[in-house]
Amino acid sequence: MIVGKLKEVNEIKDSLPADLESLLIVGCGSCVSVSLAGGEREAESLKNLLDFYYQTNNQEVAIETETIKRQCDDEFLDELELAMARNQIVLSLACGVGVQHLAIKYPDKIVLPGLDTTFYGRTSAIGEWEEMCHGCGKCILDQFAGVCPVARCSKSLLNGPCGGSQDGICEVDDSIECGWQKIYDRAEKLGQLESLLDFESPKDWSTHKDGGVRSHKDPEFFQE
Amino acid sequence: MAGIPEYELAWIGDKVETNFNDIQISAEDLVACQGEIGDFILTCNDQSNPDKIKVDNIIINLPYQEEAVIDGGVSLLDHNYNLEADRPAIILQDYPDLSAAFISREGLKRSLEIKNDYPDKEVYYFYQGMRFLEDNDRLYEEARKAGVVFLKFDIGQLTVSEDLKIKYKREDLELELTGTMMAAPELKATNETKRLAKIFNLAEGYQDYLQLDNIYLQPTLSGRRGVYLLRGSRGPTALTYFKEELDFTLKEVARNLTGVEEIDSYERTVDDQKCILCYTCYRVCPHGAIQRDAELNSMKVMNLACQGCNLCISRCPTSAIEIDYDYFQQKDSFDETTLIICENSAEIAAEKYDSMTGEDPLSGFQEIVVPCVSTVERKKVIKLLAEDSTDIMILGCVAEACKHLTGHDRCQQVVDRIKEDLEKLDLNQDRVHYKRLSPRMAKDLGGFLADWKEAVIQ
Repeated sequence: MIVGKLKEVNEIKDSLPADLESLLIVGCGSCVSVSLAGGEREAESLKNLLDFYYQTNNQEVAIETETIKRQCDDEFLDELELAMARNQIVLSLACGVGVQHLAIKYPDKIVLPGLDTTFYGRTSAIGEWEEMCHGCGKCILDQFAGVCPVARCSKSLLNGPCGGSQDGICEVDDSIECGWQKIYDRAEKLGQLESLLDFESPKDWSTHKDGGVRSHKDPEFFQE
Repeated sequence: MAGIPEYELAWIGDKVETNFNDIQISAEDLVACQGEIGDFILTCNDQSNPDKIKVDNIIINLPYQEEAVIDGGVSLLDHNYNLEADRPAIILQDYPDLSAAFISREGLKRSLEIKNDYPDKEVYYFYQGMRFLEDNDRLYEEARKAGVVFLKFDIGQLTVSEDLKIKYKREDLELELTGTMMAAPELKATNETKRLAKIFNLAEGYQDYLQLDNIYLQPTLSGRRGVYLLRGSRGPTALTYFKEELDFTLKEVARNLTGVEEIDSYERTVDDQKCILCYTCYRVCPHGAIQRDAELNSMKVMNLACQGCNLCISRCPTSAIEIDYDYFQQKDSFDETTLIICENSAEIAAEKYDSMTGEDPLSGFQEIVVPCVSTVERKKVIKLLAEDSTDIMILGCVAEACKHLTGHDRCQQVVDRIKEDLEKLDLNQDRVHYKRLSPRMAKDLGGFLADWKEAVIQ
């Protein structure tokens, strides 16, 4: 899923105009709710915090919250019509996709991001998430014992490990486990070590950022 | 579930003979546990047991993993030992660290056994601390009278070389000894505890045992109602009073079989339209009381398992879990400091203080009583701060007194986050306070609140 992290509340406050009169905080009920950053609970806590801030600073600002199932699909946004009309500024607690989708749907509204979208990841413990995928457009997990060298090696090496791997720890940061150690360990368990000896050709990055902005269509829904 | 065998009690690990209709399942063969007290469904991957078993109660009774502290010595817990002729017997306890209290009893018994069998045998007993419980006093006295030489050591005063030679050195005495070395092993949790913690959704305790700090409050009861812990699943201290703990647990099981009731009268429901199956409630619940409802495809609170701490409600990211009661509605005055107090510690301490002194320590405060301070939510505290200009004091439990295991820490996390956010907005973060108490701390509570009134309110 897409993992997000709520921006620091002072950063959010600073991004709002000084003459703010009304604000709609829109929570997103999908991925970023799972990563405990942008769901109804966060939207309401943030509202109360900003209410308290403006009240303390004697500024009258009307803040309301709406949390919809997903901000990246049109139909859910329809639920926001009235609240959108009522408010001067919109603060979206969705991932970067949701923020932009809101902006596309409401071209005349200022839509601000309340989250930093961090990565595609898994929940590794309560309140902890780990990056697992870079969305490179061409999955090669079958060749690396199910551990992604692109996302989980700090240098995205296809022929690793590098010399910076020490006792399973990456040289980039002590808190990062070496992705190639994981590839090796899992391949050993699965009896696939031999396959790691094959030399990997450079990856075709045209499916990733090198190919420019990506989009794709499901042929079942489009006729050539 | 129809057609599956039903038992009153399942033993996970070792079985003890009882009159219950019970079944033994090895820890390795257990795959899953669903349901709640009176209606647990265990899934087994085992030839000798059916796939699914319905049980009312569960006792996890695992052995310890003994780890020798000295290579080549005999374990003090090993009853088959041979003494070397013409050489002393050496009992070594607490090397390198203090061992469980039960070890003192085993060591004393062993020393006496040797002296009884071989009165002329020299027996040296090295220890850092002798823990006296039950009849250890008597055993110690008898052993001394029988001629066992007790030598107390502090860290650094005793070393054991690879050839099992003991060097003992203190201010007035230096000694080098070899003989039959009987050393107390270190007791560790077995490898199965981590798996079982996951299967039963129990919080892992210290050193991989399944018990947390509140063992004094609920001995042998795991966080999950109807699931009990004995011996190696509970921690080294469990050996000391094993018999008492077993008796206590079996009585609890028998009582459970006569029927169990819900912990309180409030309804906690999950709105299946709002639940996104993120499993946050399942993961944070200290009582294993949350399960997925496959039919509704949403999480659900199991009413008998639920212990009413409200942590699931305060942590649900979509506010999907609701309760038909608002603890914060109790607030009706806005000019008094708000006290949010846990009914398991501060409230009891306040009652005690009142009966001791005739003075209600909570008078003059706006009181909100919660079943656990994990009920406290960020949005509610911030709202209270905005509503008036008085302070908010949250009184939770010390770890040992926390009935809900993690509640006291969960509240700390909420308070820390609130303070952090207030600071970032240049708002006064000193208006929120958190203090931990036990129900016994009546005087502390009374004194502290009196000081507080004087210093902050006036």
